[in-house]
Amino acid sequence: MNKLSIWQLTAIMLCGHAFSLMTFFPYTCDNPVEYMIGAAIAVLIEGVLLVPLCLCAGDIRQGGVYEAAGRISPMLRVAVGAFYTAVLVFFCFRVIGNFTFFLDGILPQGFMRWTAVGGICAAGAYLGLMKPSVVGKSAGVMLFLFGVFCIFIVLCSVGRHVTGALGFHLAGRHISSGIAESVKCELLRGMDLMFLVLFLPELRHSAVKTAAVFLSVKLVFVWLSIGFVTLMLGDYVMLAKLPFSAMASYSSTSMIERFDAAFMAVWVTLAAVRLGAAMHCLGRSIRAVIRPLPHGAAVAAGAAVSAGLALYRLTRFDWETEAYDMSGWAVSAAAVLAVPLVLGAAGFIKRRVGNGGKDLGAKA
Amino acid sequence: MAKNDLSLSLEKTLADLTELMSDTAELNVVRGVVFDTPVAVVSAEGMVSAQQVGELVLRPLSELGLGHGENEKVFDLITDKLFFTADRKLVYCLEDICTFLFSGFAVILVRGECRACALGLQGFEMRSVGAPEAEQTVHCAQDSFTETVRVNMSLIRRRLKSPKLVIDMLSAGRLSKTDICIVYLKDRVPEDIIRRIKEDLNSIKLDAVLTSGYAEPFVDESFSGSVFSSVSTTQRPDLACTRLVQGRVCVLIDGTPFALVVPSLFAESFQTMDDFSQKPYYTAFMRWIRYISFFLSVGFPGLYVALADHHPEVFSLKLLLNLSVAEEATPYPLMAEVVMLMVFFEIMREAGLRLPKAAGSAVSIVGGLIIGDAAVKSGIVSAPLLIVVGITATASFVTPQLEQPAAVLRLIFILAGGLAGLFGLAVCFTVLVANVCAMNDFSVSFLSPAAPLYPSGIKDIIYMKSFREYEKSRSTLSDIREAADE
Repeated sequence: MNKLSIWQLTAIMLCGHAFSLMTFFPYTCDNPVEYMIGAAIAVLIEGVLLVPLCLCAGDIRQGGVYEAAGRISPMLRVAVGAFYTAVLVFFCFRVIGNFTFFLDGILPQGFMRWTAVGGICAAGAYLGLMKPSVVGKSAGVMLFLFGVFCIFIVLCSVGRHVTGALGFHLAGRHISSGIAESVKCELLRGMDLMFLVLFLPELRHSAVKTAAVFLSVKLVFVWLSIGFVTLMLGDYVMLAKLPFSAMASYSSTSMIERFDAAFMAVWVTLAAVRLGAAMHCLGRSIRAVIRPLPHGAAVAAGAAVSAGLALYRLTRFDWETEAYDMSGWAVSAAAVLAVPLVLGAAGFIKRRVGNGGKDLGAKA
Repeated sequence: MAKNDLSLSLEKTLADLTELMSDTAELNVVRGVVFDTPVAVVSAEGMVSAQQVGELVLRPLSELGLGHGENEKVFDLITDKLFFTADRKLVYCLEDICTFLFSGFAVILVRGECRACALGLQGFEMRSVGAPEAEQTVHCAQDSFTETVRVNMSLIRRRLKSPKLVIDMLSAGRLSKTDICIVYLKDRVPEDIIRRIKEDLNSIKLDAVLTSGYAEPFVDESFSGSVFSSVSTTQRPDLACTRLVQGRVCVLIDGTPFALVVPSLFAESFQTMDDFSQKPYYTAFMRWIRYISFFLSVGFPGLYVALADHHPEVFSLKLLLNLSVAEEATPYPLMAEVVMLMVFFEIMREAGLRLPKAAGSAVSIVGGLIIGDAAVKSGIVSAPLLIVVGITATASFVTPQLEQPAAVLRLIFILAGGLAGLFGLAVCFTVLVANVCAMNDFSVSFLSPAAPLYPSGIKDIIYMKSFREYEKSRSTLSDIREAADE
């Protein structure tokens, strides 16, 4: 009951991905089809990145990555903890920053950024204090509401502002570089995949099955989302900040003039869930480094550091360069690949050395 | 027990008993002689039926008193041969005698015996079974629980004659020694739940347990962690039986005309007994009305404030102009107006609740006049806001089980919406969802069967399953837990 089901973990990761996808598309990508191809390639790469995790899932399941590292060496435990602390602080920093920056486009003027940072961090930290199953259930509820909202928007948009299939083309000056940027962007968005590594001991089912379910659902979700928003907005989708908000602002009924504010509410809940899952893991990673720290204090410390960094960067008013900087994709890939690879290799060497020692002892 | 052992001397036992009971005036002692052996019948004034004591105890004893016999045989004769009443217990210490006396038992003491015989002859005043005022229905039974636990037990037993219905008794409260009755169906409730409820109730160290509210925090694991409660109360025996069949445990507390249902689910707050007496399509319709009502009662004023203050572009132009004109004429910020009206509504509700019924209607007339007419005419509040508050207030009456959390959440959402618009509402909503998802009393999610998803149970949320479907698949607590573990 207190363990995560496949669908709960998928919901956590999909909430994060949905938030990211609803926020922006890379400028360098010329058209939506390039992005759809890039998303498919990114899914394949993510599948490959998950191979080491699936191979050493048995070890990680017993107590998590930190325990698995601690079994090899106490220093490795601290190193893995420090690595994930840095990655998760970067992750939270980007989520908080992107959220606050793009929120400017929806909220009325005069709404101060520190208020947005404070609000979303408080919600994230509260979720971070909960058990993983609670985060999973919350993610499921939010995803359901998000789905209902999307269906509603679709119904309200159809017939109002449809550009048809005009947006679906591959015409562009730099198709290959556009696809490459899309792959990087999707990998960066796919940072949520590290939750599979970090929540593995809490997972009720196999890592392979969960990864397969998530990657396929994600690809379908990305294609459907981009496909629909392109139908509505055409090529403009690649230039709009918050493209889904733009689409929501075109939707209306006889009672409601526009839906962008409603979109914002749903988007906030997705951000809070994404941040909540990250802060929960951040609390754990901090505790792997500083063991006697209680979980609540670790989460609060992690939230404060991430929020502080994001706020500092936001006050310099150059977040846009940070938001559209896709170089963080390498960090995302490393967060999924590096630690399971190191743990697998170290475990393998330890076993070989152990067996060798036994053999030598037997010969003696 | 060793401390208060009964004496062989009848006089000493009576003296000890009188001393233990602080020489209370309500102690009735009737002395007599049976087979040359002194005997005393002790009872508490007002707790036993004097007529029954006379007819069922004193008369048979006085008829026996004409013969001769030995001490030991007298007590055995009284306990084994004479059928005074079906409810009788052997008692070995003074403290137990006190408890029995104040529970409506008459106690027979015999000289030369270190034990006593307690006979259940309750005759205290009790309210008769009446209509359930808090949970009205149209098509269902019109009886409700009373303050007497034994009567409540019989109301349940009359409906569930199965031998699998288990009724366990225990007492709580150092001074009150209140009878608490745990009722459940043996094959439908997981063992660990029963064990934990018993442990929780036995752990009560209060001086007195006077209403169900005293015991609720002990069985409700999320009592101080959430605005919602995973323990519900019902006044209706038929609803209690429905929950028992669904694998819940009912806790009856002497002196409380309600049964506690443990554990309770969020979705059950939207179900009534009438649901089972109507056509499924109508029940489904009414359930959705209740969902909408709950949403309106919690979120409507907050949403209105958020939209009108921060996102006016959402409203269509005509409505926006009307709202703008109405709000222009009022002196206070919209959030302050709503808070003011909602607090006033709560004051009126509380006044109506505490006052006698006759005066209660006067409160609503005065309140209605002040709010409905004078406040708008004087320009303190706007007319559209009055409609919002009216709808909210009416909607809050639809789900009385959720009235307490709704009242608090409503104010929180108004403040969040007023201060930060839909952003504030979304943040509060996320925290609320996480809080509710964290409620997992007795390893049963409060949001079951929606989260985690239990396909068979979810049908009962979206629409009302027909009884033919119930025949095919019953969903008990164990089923929900198993589904969650899969």
